[in-house]
Amino acid sequence: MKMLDKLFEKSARSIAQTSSRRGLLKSLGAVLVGGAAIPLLPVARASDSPQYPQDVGDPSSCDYWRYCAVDGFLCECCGGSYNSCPPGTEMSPITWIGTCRNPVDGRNYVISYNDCCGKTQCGSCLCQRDEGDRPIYRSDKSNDVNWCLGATSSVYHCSTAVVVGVAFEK
Amino acid sequence: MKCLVLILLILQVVSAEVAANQSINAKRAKFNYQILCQGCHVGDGRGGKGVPHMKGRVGYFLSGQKGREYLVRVPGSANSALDNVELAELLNWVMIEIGKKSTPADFAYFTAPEVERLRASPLFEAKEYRKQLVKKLFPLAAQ
Repeated sequence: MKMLDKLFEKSARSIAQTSSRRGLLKSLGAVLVGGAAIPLLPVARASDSPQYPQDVGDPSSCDYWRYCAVDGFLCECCGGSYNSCPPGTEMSPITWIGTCRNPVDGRNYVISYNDCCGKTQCGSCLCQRDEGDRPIYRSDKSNDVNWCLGATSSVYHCSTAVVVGVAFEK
Repeated sequence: MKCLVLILLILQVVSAEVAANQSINAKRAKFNYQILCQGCHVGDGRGGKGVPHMKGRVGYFLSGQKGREYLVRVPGSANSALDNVELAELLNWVMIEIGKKSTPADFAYFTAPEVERLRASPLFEAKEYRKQLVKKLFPLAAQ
């Protein structure tokens, strides 16, 4: 304990001898102003990676970028949207997941194609693009599976395309 | 001098922690989880109809050697398209991010050679095996 007392006393005396109150205020001011200015620099903003993509295109068209791996009816045409189910249906938590390239920023995003279940097939806007689809023996990578098996009702209605993250670029 | 020793000790502890964390590329591990596991286990690992609930639980399997081996031999791990390095990394990430408090803070990380050895004997009756394993590892919980 004595050693600590001595140590702190020595360092406090040393600071007191080599610095002034004005000097302290000056340094503190510089740190505060400088620190506040750092986020304004363009380099700081450029390093922020957006978690969600900028959107472009028509979500009711099969050409919409998020649908690159879809196989089914687009919920956008069935009373829902690309990330929500139509009323009266339930989103299956179990789903098939792929990646699609966003044409605006050129990055690949992880897309979860959650099926909406509980009503008979929607019948509008059938879309089959199948990028990254694998045969049924790789069931986790096959979009031919009826993913409504994870919902209360296994009756398929339509498919959503929810962005769940940014793909890792190897 | 004593002060210097203390600082050196602190630096050593910090660098050891950094080294341990460096063996996981969190972005790659999360992506592999999303692409290969999340479809069934869902984003936070809580699973669903017929899919095991891993969130805050999966780390309990580390309390016994058979449990640890099960985590690699289970079909989702053993038969995955990942190489041994990325599978070990993904398992470690799952233990930390999904297992949360169920995972012991000082658990031994899975390594690529360990994963290579264990995935060579994948489980075929994983559901029944897990049932028996849970009974053995956690007799009170299984009652």
